[in-house]
Amino acid sequence: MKRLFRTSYVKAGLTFIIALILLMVLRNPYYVGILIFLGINIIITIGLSLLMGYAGQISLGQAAFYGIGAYTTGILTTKLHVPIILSFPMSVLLTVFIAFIVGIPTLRLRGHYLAMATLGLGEIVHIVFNELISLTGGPSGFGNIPLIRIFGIELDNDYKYYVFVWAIVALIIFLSLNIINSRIGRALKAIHKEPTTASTLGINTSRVKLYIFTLGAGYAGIAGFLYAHYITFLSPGSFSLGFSVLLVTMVAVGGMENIWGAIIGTTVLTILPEYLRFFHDFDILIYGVILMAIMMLRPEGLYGIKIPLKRIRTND
Amino acid sequence: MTDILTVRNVSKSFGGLKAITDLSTGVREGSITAIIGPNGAGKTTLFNLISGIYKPDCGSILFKDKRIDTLKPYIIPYLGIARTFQKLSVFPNMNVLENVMVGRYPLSCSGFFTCALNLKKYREEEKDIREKALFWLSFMSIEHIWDKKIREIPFEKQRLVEITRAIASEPELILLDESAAGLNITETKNLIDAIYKIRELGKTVLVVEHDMDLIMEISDTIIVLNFGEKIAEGLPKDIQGNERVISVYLGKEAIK
Repeated sequence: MKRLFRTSYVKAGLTFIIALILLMVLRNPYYVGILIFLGINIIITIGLSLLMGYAGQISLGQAAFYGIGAYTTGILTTKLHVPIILSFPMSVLLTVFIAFIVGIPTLRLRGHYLAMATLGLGEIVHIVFNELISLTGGPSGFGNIPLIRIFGIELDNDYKYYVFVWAIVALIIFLSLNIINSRIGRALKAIHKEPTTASTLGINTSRVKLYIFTLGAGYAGIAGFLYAHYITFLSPGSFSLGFSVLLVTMVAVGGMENIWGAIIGTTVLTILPEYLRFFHDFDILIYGVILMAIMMLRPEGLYGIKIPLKRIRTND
Repeated sequence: MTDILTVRNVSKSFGGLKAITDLSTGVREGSITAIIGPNGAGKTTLFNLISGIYKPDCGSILFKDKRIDTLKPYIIPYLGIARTFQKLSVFPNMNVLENVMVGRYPLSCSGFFTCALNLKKYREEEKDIREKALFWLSFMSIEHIWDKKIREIPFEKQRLVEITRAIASEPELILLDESAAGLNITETKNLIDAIYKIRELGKTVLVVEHDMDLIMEISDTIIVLNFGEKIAEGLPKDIQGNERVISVYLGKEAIK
């Protein structure tokens, strides 16, 4: 029984069931909206945590990949009237392709060259979104992106979209757990700690890193697709460097040891600002203090933290 | 017996430092061959050249009559060469079994999508990797610690895990870089037993070692290096009486 709970099917399935239970409990549309965004963010941060925690590389271009995914499907469906069933693979493939091109030269090098290259990519993509006005509408963006329709059901309200997004989150968790537990996952962990040793064990380090980087970019592309068809309006502001940094922060705060850390970090940093609205203008200050406190008291991240309840109980 | 590994006129320098100068030697198939020499003699450099981490400045290295000195390090294990490191190199982010399972990497082939989609081919291969890793752990008599984290086990066991990881890739030639360093007498004894067991499988063992008792006991052939040059090669008893070797280790006065 315990072994059953370790399989990726069960873990992914449970995540989906918990998401559905949350939907039943929270009938408030405002919360449902936040949780849709949470799901979209989790898809990106899982990919990023594979890259950061397992391959030991940082990408500051996740928002750009997210944006490429969103803009591609947006432009294809509104300007060229491509059906969504085709725009989905096309947007993800374009994201993966661009990541591949950026990754080939940079992942051959040791050190944080990937962070620099993706930082540059993020800026380029942002400029393209702003300046290619005929396609992207420039800084003011464009709208009227069609809704997703699957099996004859149009995802026209938040509840339906919520189920769709979290089903994809569960799928992403399933795929990611399988990779982590496989020979590729072990190769990644080996590269993270001892790259030279890893190569003497037959692991082509730059190739495995490239795979995981493009996978993470592909996840971000999927998230972008989900975002575009949920909001139905795109403008460059949502895909800035600031968002890339926030995503890296989410993974760091949650813990890079495994993908659940990314999920926890994303949850905390997506929900926290909503509660901090209570402090009005001071919210960003308190947000900063909380982040600093987490990183000082628990540099390895929130995942696996022992809440001192246990200690209290044993002291009784 | 033929040479499984041939080193031909290999030189390697780092800036002005000549680590290895015009070295030619061979390792007989199925033997235990030891490389000895004072610190800085170029022993580990030679290992790094064989495993592809460094490229020789000139000369060539042949494994089973095929040139390997031009290959990338990650190709070498596929040919049947495995190694350990002087500065112990096990992965602290994995448990003992997983460390050994990494050693099976060159013998498995599931790609990215096969793994991600949890296909039957991947599951079967994963099961095989696991079983073989457990087999090699029991071969080295450390199967009882398979689920331990690396930092939970003593240094000696970490060394054994590293050797098991190397042997798990079922190499024909295994390079052990100072595996006895930091081990006490009983632990060294266990290591010697392990090396004999590896040889009994028909594998060739090349060791770099400082522990003279161990060297004299186990090796069939000894190669002595000093400042990157080979100064002697032969049976342990010949090396023990070789004047140049004694002068290198103990100083010239020791001969008189």
